[in-house]
Amino acid sequence: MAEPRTSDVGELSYEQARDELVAVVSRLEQGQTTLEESLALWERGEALAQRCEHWLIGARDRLDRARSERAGAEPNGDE
Amino acid sequence: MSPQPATMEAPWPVAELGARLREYIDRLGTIWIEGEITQWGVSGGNVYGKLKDLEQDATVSFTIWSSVRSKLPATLSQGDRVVALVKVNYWVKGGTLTVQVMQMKQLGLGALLERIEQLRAQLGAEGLFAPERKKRLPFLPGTIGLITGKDSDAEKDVLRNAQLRWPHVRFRTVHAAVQGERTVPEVLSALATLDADPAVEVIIIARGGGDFQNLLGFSDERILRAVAAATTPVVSAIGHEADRPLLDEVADLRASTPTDAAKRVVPDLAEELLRVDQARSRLSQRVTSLIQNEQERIQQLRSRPVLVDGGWIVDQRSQELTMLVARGDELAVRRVGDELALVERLCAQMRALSPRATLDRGYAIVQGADGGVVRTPSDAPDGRELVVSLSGGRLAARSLGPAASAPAVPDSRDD
Repeated sequence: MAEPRTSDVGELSYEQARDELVAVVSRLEQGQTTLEESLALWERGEALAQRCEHWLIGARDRLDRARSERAGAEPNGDE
Repeated sequence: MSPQPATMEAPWPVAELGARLREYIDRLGTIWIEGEITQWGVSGGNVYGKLKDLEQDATVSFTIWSSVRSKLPATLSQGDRVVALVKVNYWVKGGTLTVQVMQMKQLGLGALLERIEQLRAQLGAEGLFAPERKKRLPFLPGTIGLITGKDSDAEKDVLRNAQLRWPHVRFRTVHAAVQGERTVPEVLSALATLDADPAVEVIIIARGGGDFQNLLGFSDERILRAVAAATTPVVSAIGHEADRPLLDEVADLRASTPTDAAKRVVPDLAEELLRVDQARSRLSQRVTSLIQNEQERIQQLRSRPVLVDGGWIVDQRSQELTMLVARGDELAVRRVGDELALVERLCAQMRALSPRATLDRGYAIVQGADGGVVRTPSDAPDGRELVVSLSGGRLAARSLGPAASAPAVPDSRDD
């Protein structure tokens, strides 16, 4: 079976990964691929979905961190 | 009789020059002149004053004798713009020139307004009031230039309100007369000084309102052109709602009062912090909702049947295979059936064509020992061994030669 190309997924930006994921889903839904191609596409889709989820979780963490830093920096009434 | 032209060899006596001057000046008669009273002193009932040109740097001294003064408006004073009927006298003995006032009246408000309107139309036509030439004020100026009267309320208002809004704001103040004859030159000088200072990012010209005539300097063409030519944005804060001076039109921003100027030029620190906080909050909400939307989008993509579990890919192919095998079986069985039917059909045809059927009807096949079929009597001479094939089997026989007579052969149609 063909080796699925998933090694480069980590280098993609969020938008690139998301857009490619949409394209992968679309190709799989059309069903015009061979068994080998389908499996390779599915594996890539899975890798892309994980990349997107990790990116978004990271973004949310960054946001929460910035908020808590700001809350910590703001002077309290008793200071 | 006129004397000879004066030369070094034949000079005029001083008295001749004086007489000539007096003669020339007397020919002027009484004339109407216009100007601004810049000096008005009363001594012994007479007025000794100075009249300055409204635009150029030219001044003349005048005298109003008490007899004339009693007939003039009592409201006349320094700073008034007037028209005066004067008689110019040259005193030969002292070599002095006096301007004696016969009549004097304040320039009517209507006349002044008309002049201002003419200037407004002229400068407007030149594009000095056009919105597109107005310069934008900096958000937070490093240094603010202030032109105002020394120790004036206007100065205090600007400084106090600016510092209330942004405590660390810096000012460079140049004091100037804001009414009277010194207004124009001093404001021009202050403007030139501040405009040349690279640290000054905006200039406020402030005065705490006042009588229309006191504000005339701020409709002076020289100030207006200087403001229009300045590279630094200029804010007019003359504080006179009715009969606004033309400075308001030329300035890059018009403030209604000196306090308003401070508010327009200096941002409010507390307000700005609140604005930043609101922007931060909106930003945070926007990014959060963006992330949320994207997470939902990815979740939708992940929950699509094709991505949920890759098993469908193999299952689909496996089903295809099962169907193909079943289809193969079905086709093979059908093919065998078809072939059997064909064989049966062929067998029936074979049987129909086989000699066996003929034997069944009572015929026989006679063959020689060599297997050749005996068709005529000459093929089986006397004594020849024969094999006779019948429907029920075969029997051996020997020929006795041609028979004399034989039973009739049944016709196949009778069969």
